Amino acid sequence: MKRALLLLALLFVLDRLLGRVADFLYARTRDGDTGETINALLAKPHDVVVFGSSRAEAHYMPGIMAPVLSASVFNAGFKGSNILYDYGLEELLLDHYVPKVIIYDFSSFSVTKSHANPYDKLYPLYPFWRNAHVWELIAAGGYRATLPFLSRIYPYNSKFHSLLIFNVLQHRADAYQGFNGSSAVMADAPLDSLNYSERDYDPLLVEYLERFIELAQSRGARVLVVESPRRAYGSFPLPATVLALLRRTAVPVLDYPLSEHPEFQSFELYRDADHLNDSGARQFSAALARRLK
Amino acid sequence: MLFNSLQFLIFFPLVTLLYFAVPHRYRWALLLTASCVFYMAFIPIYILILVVTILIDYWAGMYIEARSGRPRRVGLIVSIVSTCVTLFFFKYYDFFATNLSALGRLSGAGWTVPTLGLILPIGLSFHTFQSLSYVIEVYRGRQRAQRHLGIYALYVMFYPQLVAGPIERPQNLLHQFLEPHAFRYAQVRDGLRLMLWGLFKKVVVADRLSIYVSAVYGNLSHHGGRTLILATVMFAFQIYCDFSGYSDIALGAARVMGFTLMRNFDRPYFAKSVGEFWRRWHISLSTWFRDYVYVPLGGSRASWQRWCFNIMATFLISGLWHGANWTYLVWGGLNGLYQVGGRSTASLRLRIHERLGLTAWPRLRNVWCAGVTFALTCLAWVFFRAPSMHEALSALSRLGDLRAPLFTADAKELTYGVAGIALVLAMDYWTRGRSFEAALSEQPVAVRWSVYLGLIIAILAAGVFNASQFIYFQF
Repeated sequence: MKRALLLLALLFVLDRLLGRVADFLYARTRDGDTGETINALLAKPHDVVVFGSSRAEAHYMPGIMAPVLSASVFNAGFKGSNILYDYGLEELLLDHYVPKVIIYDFSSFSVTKSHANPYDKLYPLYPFWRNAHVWELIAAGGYRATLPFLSRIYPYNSKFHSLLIFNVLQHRADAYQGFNGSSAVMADAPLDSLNYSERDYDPLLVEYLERFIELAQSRGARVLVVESPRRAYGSFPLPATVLALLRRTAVPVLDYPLSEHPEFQSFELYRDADHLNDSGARQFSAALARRLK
Repeated sequence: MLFNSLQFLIFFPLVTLLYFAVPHRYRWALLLTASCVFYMAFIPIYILILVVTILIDYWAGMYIEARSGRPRRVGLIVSIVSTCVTLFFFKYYDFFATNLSALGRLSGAGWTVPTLGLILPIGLSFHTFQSLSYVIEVYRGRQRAQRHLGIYALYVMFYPQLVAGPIERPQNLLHQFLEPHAFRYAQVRDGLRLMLWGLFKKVVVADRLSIYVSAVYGNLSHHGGRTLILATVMFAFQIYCDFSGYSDIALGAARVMGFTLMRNFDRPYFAKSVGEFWRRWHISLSTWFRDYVYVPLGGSRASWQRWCFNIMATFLISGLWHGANWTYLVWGGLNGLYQVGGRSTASLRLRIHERLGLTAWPRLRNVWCAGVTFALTCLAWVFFRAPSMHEALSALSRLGDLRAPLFTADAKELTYGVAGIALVLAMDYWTRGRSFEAALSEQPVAVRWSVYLGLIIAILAAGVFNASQFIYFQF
């Protein structure tokens, strides 16, 4: 029994120690594949911040948009994220500064139901669990979400690889603005459009979309919803619930249906049916910046 | 309830504490209640299937024991048929209905058989096989019928092995419920060690590998040979770590309370032939098929043709046991063919080994044989993992296309996965056939504690915590 208690004590000390090391490394990290770009986003104020999932991450080139808009731009898109994550990140961002414009790249996946627990998508924000807003969001996931935070290593679960690699290599400077694209060109035929019905949308996530918009507006930021191009057959009409919400909150929608934007029809601009490649992102970022101006 | 969930982290210590706190005569009731709670955490209503199976086989056991001759056989048949009908209805009906409808379309007859779309009750194949082994053993006179309904129900429902085995035999498990188990520090320690190692294999290795494997096998048509080979090798270790991890947690949880369950894995990827692989992989199922299908068919003490039939029949049924899909049937058939081929070419292979000089280097020969066995096993895993026959064949046809780029979208998962595989293989090599906890016991305290702390920290730092299901739960 004594040995078991000693082992537990040792585990506690080691957990705290490694947690401190991870805190230190994370604070120095500006880049990584598990959301470490958040540090770069918070490090200095930006005029325009892009939110969204992998489509946002791969479509908005701050380097192209900034000179046209004469404003600093940061792409805070993160692959596989949902609106819960975006809302948490927005809370965190607004605790640091208020950008002039928030662009939300709308993807149906961000607000549709899935088998996975939507709160699991908050994991890139775990290192910021001490922030009251972030903790409130994590705690909404119930005891299953909060109990592991007894460990100080857990907030960095799956991030140690990034912490070590990106601290050692530091392959992107502080000037990094969040774009993460690909030069691949799509090889397969485009997909049919995914027509979600109203019941496919998760009411919780739609509610958080509303909170996301209202929070930004209440702090004086202008919100725009953009549906960036995708190379699929058919169109992707916004669901009625979301359209009603955008009308109610007076949020403009800028979309890019291929029928109206033939300049985005070439397969050469896409890495797959849902994502532009670097060439496509360059073309889209320039077009969007001109439209915004 | 999943072993890798926070619910279980609360459930297990609570049940264990209560188990040692209550007098022996009430322990069966406690464990039975806990097992019901454990099972009902999935789909509560499906516990009724277990209740029906238990009642039929409980009655059959006593009926068979009390009679001789024809009525005895009738009792056995009633029990087997009722159990198999349940299994067929929930697991195989839709498969047969779909195929009959397809046959109707192809033949022009145009008949369609409606499907039911039922959700497969979790662990159905496991507890039905455990029930069957009881009735068969009573029929064979090797096991006394259990008169205590609660104890018999516990034999079928004992929560550590209820949903994914090991598939126990009544001779090994039933009597353990009647014996008083005192709290013993050594058995609690050994059980917890095994659970820790099992949890590591599941959440750090298997669930990490599954991210890459699912990304590839979810879009098979997008990938070339190198990616498919890598994903298949990773799947071989994913399924090993997933299932052996589950088995270790099951064995460990039972050990903490003083129960000994049968070992389910013995370093399968060190096997030097496919036959040996099946003596090391999912041992409780392999021996079940050996004892209740292969041997009754005549086993190996038969003519060459009959032996081929026996082995093929056993492996085809084993394939079908895993799932109602042609892919599982082909997977089983392929493993049967490997064994037939292995026996047919034994002398030829020996001559080749002699020519190559491998017989003079037994270790090198072992490595060669283990490598070939692993490659053959991986080839069969393609069918096991692919969602359909069409996709499995399409994947196999592209295995040779080595020009296509390697899919490395998530380098992190690959890094974690390869490191995890290396660690599991090193541990398997180091234990050399002993169980993990036995091998660890022989080490000095500094090594043991480093292993405990290292595993816990690895689970916290690199474990996948969204409580994904164990692969074998679907069977």
